[in-house]
Amino acid sequence: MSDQQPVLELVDLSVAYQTSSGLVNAVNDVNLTIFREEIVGLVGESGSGKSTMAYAIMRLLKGDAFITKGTIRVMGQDVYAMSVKELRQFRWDQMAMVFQSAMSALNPVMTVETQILDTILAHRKEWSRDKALARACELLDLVRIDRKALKSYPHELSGGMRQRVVIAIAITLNPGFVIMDEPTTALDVVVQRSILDQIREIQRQEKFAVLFISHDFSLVAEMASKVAIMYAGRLVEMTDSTTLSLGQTHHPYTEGLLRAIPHLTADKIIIEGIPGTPPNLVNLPTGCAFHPRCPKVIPICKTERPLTSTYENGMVECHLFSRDKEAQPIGN
Amino acid sequence: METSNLVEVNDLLVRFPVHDGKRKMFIHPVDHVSFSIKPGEVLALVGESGSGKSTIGKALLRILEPAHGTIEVGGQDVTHIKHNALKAYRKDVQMVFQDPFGSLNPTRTVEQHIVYPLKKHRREKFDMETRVDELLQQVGLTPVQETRVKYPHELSGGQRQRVAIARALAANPKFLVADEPISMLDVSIRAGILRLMNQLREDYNLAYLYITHDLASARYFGHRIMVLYGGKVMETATAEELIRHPLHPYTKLLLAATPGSGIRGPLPETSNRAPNLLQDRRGCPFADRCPLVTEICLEKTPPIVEVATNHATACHHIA
Repeated sequence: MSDQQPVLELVDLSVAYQTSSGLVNAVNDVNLTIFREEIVGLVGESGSGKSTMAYAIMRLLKGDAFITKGTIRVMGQDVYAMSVKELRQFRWDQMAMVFQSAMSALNPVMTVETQILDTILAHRKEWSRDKALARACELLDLVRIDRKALKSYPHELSGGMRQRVVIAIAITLNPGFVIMDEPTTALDVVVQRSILDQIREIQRQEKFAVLFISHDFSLVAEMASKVAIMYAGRLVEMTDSTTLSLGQTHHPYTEGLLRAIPHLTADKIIIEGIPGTPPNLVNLPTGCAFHPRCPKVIPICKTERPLTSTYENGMVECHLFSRDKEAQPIGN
Repeated sequence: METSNLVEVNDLLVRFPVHDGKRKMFIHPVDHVSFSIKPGEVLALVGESGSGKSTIGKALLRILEPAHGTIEVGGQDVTHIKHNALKAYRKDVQMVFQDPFGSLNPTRTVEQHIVYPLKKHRREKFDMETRVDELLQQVGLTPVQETRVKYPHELSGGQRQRVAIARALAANPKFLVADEPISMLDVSIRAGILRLMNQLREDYNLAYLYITHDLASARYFGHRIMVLYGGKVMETATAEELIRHPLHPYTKLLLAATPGSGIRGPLPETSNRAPNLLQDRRGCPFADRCPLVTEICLEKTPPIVEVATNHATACHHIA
């Protein structure tokens, strides 16, 4: 993997919503780097700030949401330093997004062909219609849909086909970085699997980096090389996906998520949920936001926010880990 | 477990009209399906969208009337009952829907949601207040006094699904149809709901028809699993047996596609076409995706054959 050139760099990113009950911090001090051709998973419960982060990266935050702190760099360029005109070219050319719901991401009154051609011709003004059409056909072959689907309206396609069209539109212009926000959530297992296999195959061919957002651990572990876990707007852990199945120690929240998945083939089929519900972002618990639900809570968790401990392949934000570190003699 | 069946479905056929130009045609989303469920037993119905699993659930609740076949619940034939008999029947069977955001009325409080079926299906005298408290406690919505007065928008997805379960329990049913009750919830919440349903099964000897597309949760919660495709039963076995020794090519495909199966490489299917549900179809519904397909599969519908104890499958290529 060529590590030299980061595709996405988030430095101390914080995003807040202005609401009637004050500022709500949906994303807090997130640091994340994605390199070329890398797939990074982002996991968390609903309301943990995953999608808000994705929208912030795309500079699509609307209404009351705004960035309070930090910078976002995609392909080395500061997304928020661009003029609107530059941004319009940059988006989709360099970074693209696959939205969660394929039904609402497509325009119901336009054919698939029109939607793909629109995208191409808006960015490649010098292209002829025929050339754009050839590219559209090539894309449909890539996501394995019959070229006849070009003439179809979204409602004529099945859920899986629609999602494939959305993916095709995202990679139309060969972007270096693609955000996939729960791309298979509403689909059947077999369709889900074949779309994920396809994403991986296309990713290898076209060599783009992916931020893969999902709430399903088992999917992310199979797709991504690195996994970031988000809780209440903070990245609480970042780890190699290979460590997720080996029963190694993780952040208690990560461990909880891992225990919550019913395993298909394991002998023992005891699954445990994480007690309680995700916190209200308006009124976050003091100290570590996870402490009211944490089975390993110690007194310090209730008062102080844990510091980030980084190690070779990742980071973790938990007092249990920072204490271990203190226990080891560091110089002195 | 008792031996007599609580639910017995025989040769169930449901049809919907479709308009194909001028001709009036029918599709058969449920095509000659038979099964039974004992008291306190969970039958998991697994299949993809369009396989007919929700339609079977709706036919059991008699939201739909079957075109052919019989449904017997607790010894009573309910296939074509109407009016008062149907109302009385609904005391015994209730449903938990997939979407806890859509299945609760946003303008009603939790209490109102539960009081309504309590009044409607009242069997004996009881104190309404204490009964509501009891139900909320049972589904783990505590502190009760606080939850009672809340509106759905004040609750999380998991809590809403618990309200939906409490509402279903209010009629004191013997049998619950749970249609994908956890698929819209966060992974961390799912386990809690499955555990709750399991607890209720033990406490009340409740039987479930658990509809899902997720084999892993079917294995966890179901005693037996029935795999459906294109309205037909492909394979049925005890949960453990089906996961360990799947026989039908479609079951194998589903297993390979489930995350965490450990099976890599291309999926064992030859196309991703949706099944043909039209009334005049022939052969095995899975034929055009099946890697084992031969001539006979396109011509003749395979009968469902018991290949081992409690393990039956419908495939020409499994003797």
